[in-house]
Amino acid sequence: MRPPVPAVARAPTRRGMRRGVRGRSAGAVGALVLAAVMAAALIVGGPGAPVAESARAALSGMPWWRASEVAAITALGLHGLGPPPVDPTNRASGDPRAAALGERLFADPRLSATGAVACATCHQPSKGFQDGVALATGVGTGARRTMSVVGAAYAPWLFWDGRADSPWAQAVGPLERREEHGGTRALYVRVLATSYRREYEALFGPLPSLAGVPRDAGPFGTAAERRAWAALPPARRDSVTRAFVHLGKSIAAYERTLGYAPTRLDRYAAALAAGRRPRAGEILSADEAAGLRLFVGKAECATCHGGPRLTDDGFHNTGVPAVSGLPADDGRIAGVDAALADPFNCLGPYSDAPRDAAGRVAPAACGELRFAARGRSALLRAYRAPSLRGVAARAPYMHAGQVRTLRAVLAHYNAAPRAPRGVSELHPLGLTPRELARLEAFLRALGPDAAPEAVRVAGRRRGAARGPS
Amino acid sequence: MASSSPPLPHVPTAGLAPSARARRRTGRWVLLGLLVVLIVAALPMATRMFRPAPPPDVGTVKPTARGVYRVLLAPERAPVPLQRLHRWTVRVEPAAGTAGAADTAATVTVDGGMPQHGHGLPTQPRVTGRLPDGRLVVDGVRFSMPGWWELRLRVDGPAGTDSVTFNLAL
Repeated sequence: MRPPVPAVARAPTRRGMRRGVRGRSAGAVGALVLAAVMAAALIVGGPGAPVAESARAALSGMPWWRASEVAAITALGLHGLGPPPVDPTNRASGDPRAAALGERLFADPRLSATGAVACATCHQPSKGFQDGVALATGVGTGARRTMSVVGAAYAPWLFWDGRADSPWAQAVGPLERREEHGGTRALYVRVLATSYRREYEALFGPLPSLAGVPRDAGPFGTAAERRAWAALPPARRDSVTRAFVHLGKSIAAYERTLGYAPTRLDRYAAALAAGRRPRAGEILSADEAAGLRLFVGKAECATCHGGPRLTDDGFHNTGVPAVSGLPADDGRIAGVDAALADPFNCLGPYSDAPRDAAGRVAPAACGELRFAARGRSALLRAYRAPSLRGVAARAPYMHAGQVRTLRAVLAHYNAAPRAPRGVSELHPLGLTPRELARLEAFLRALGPDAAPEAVRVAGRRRGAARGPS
Repeated sequence: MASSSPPLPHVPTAGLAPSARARRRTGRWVLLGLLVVLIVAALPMATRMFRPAPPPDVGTVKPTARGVYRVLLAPERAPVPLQRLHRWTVRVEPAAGTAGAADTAATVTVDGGMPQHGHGLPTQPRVTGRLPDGRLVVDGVRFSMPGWWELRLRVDGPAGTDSVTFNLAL
């Protein structure tokens, strides 16, 4: 405890020696007591006890995590996420040939009224498959923020309001919306026939004949396009629609190959799950770790952004302000009715969900749609909780890009303002400026180390079957 | 020598006999040791204090609120899965006297949510059939996160309408 005193500098006297020995022994007693107590905490606490965990963590130089926190943190790691499920409503979902075709279609601007807008125009691969602007801009400007398509294969509902119940039903939606791709299904099937016939027919059989089908005809186009569509015999409309659906199913097969890039959180969570100290490259800084503690604790972020994808796939009214000048937006309460009425849903005639001899979809299929909550006041202005993976690179935030920065997002959740309509689920959190800064530091650690591109997780092979939904 | 000692609370020692000073120093170490012991001993208690309270009652066999029925609730599989649709079964018995006989005329509607988070169930479960032993099949249950969930059942039967709330710790 004390440095040895040189004998020449001060010769020890009998009394001095006695005092030194007694002082040292008193210090040693203190140290012994401390050591004994720490050891007792380790031994008596037993494995898994919070104190033992804390003591072990302290000794190893890691932050102190309670057992409940360890469970909450390890639940966030990508190691807990299985392969992207195969969609039972899309027979081509796990087919690598469909994924290859879908990848080309995804980037093809001919799939638009102007010949200038592709899926990749808004879902830009270099930006994590979103566009970084408040409102999506295709042929015109829409009323919502572009969502990333990464991880779409895992989601039971797509779009901010969940008006599509499969990635292929999502993919065909924007193609016929006036402000997005702005074209018609007749136009798109013509593109398939001229540029993708061989690949398409190897997967889905012969393309329908387009003789007598106007270049622009569809149920959502201009008045002239709708008239042209209505004038076609029902069987022609059905065969064109079926080919259009196959286009969407190919794009969905491609999107299924887009997974999440591992982040430091995942490596940290995996180390924690394995009960070992994180190595270099797996370590969260003190601020990030403190932010993580808030994320799973006081700030309640993991309530909706839990699990390996950092989303509960649910719809929540969080009091996000309405944007003046945009049409009234009811969120999920309208989205669920749209999904139930969509002919491209799981129960519809274009779904590949298993059917009985009479052609009815099996009772065990399409559970998410059959048991969807609807008509509840809690669904008014409720929007899908997006994944927080790569969130720092995805400003502006919320369903119409209302909030510009991550800091402002955290301030919003901390303040819990009243919802413009409906009732917000939030309550004031009472986070201090320092805690908010730590949370922000943690959220910035949720991006991949390199470019914010998704990784191919499904590759060119079949994955696990999709759940009972 | 004094400058290299660990910082300790200042206690005046001037004018004391050397042995008294040593005793006082020993006393300081003992006090410090006791303090450490107290802090460490209080830690488990503190952790228990700050741990969220468990749900009040996680029983799966309960009388309804007015005692009209006795209801038995069971998940199709254990542990109860998260973020996945799954099935539960419900057995409704007349409360008085005839335990063991399912009330096959009773129907059930299901609601629920997370009382601590103020939100309802993410899906709308409902009865989809009845098993040969009289149990009702409830499909479409999905829990989005771990924690305390409630399943609230409204029972309609020949003996009247009553309700019961089950707590689940997931």
